Amino acid sequence: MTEPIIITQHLTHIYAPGPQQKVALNDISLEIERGSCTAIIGVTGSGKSTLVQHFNGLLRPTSGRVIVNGLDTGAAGVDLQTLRRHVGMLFQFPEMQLFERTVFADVAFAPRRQKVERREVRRRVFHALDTVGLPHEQFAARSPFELSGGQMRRVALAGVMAMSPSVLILDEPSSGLDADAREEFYYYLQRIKEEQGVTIVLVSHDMAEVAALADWLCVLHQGQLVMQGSPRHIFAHGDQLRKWGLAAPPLSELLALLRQQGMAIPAETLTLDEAFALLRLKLKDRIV
Amino acid sequence: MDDIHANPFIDMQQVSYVYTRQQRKGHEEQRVQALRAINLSVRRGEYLVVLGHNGSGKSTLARLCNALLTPTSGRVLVAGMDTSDQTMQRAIRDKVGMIFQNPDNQIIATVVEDDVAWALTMRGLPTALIRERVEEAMEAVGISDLRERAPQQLSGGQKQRLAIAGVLALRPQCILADEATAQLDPLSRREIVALLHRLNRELGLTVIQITHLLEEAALAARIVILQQGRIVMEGPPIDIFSDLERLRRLKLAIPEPIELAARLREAGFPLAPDALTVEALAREMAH
Repeated sequence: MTEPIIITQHLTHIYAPGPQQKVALNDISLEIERGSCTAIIGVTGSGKSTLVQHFNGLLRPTSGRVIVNGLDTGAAGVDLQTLRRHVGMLFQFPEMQLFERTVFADVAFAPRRQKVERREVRRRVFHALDTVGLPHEQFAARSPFELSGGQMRRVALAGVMAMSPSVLILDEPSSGLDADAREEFYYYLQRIKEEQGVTIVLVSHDMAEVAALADWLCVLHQGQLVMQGSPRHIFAHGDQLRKWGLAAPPLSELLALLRQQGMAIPAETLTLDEAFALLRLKLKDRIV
Repeated sequence: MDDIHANPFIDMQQVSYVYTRQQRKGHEEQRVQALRAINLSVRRGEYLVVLGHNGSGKSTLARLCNALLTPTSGRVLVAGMDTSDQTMQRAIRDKVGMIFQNPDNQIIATVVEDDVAWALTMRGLPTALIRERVEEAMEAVGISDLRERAPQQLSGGQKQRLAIAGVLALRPQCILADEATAQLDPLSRREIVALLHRLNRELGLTVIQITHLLEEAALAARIVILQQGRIVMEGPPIDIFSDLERLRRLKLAIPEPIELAARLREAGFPLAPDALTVEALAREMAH
């Protein structure tokens, strides 16, 4: 097994140390595998955003360590520029930050600021646009404000991809998108992960989104890592999730209720197809 | 003639709304038609869900119902009062209270009970009356034990309860919730929808809930779906949920349990068509 791309060891973060201090993260140790899609889930105020802001050096640990791509982010003299080139971050509602006159200029913003050579900027921008399903021939010259909400969000994603990050952090990436735009966004994220091997870290409280994308989940509650595992494993523990203010996706909840009523449904059932195949067998004698 | 039909609480007659926007400085103004010839009446005590994806016109429709916007053409009557009549707008907003998406934008005071009392205090009502109304409102939404807290310490769901209490203190006849659950986590989301249903049932409040989530509409008395400013589907949930193909074309996400039930029905399993919630479906499948 290869070295995890992100490691936190006993990470604690305290805002405003002193009498009014708030412990935002409490002794978090976790590893994120290279090339995975890991979701950090928890209710508002559980510490999700604080945690991921350590991954690109926006925050530094009060105690403990965070190691990203072999780089200790808390070490004296750490090169934050290099770190941030490795770790791209897409904030909530990123389309609100689009401001240039053309899609090209918006996507080129970060590489230009990094003084990347002109031809290389062009190459990266075109590639990033193609990657997110906005073919550059069609979209580069357009104004970002003429695009649909889903397309604007993908322009913002291309802006992050133009820095060729090895880790992509997304904060509630699909909130506010309608069903179609959401599906499209997921499709291009999957492609980025599979074709370019980018590690994705997702911050979310939308369990349907998490179920669609993530292969590993970390559950935060009041600044502590209370559970981690595969979606199948975590969503089979709906009762526990409720204690932390979370809920399994509706389909997992339905299956849990059926189990409560005495139907033998394996804990590992997760997808619609699996549930359909299973129930079809179980209800066989009731067919009319 | 049936009195309720003769006198709808909200009556939209041929309502259109056009707004202008400037895309960038120096560019020409663009006229956007947000609503086109809407006819819709809402009965007293009804629970109506208005569904639609982004840009369908649903928020514009909500704002027309309490005179935050007035129609470009057509009329909106609230309890018989025309929203375009400026002398009526205050009375209309007292009858129709509105809750918005972002709870933080709706909080004014630094202590929960002061926040609930805010609008009453501004109206200069006697202290004893304010106390009574505030108690009643906090009780109704279940935040009495949070009365001395600072609103910033509340969770998102608690903040929305607070916003609802602030509206209830004015004793409205109708609550308009415009995507009031969109920024909440899933459990708080369900709590707020359950609370709106309770207020509808127990206090007889008319509720108009605006959302893009089908699963939040399952328990409504009636659903109206908007697309590009027009009403494209209308009816009780049982009818609306029977055409999943159409809902998909309207860019609404179908909840997985509903999809599963549809596939099982197609395969010949008898499941009651009115089983639209996870709980009801579980009962149907297990019995």
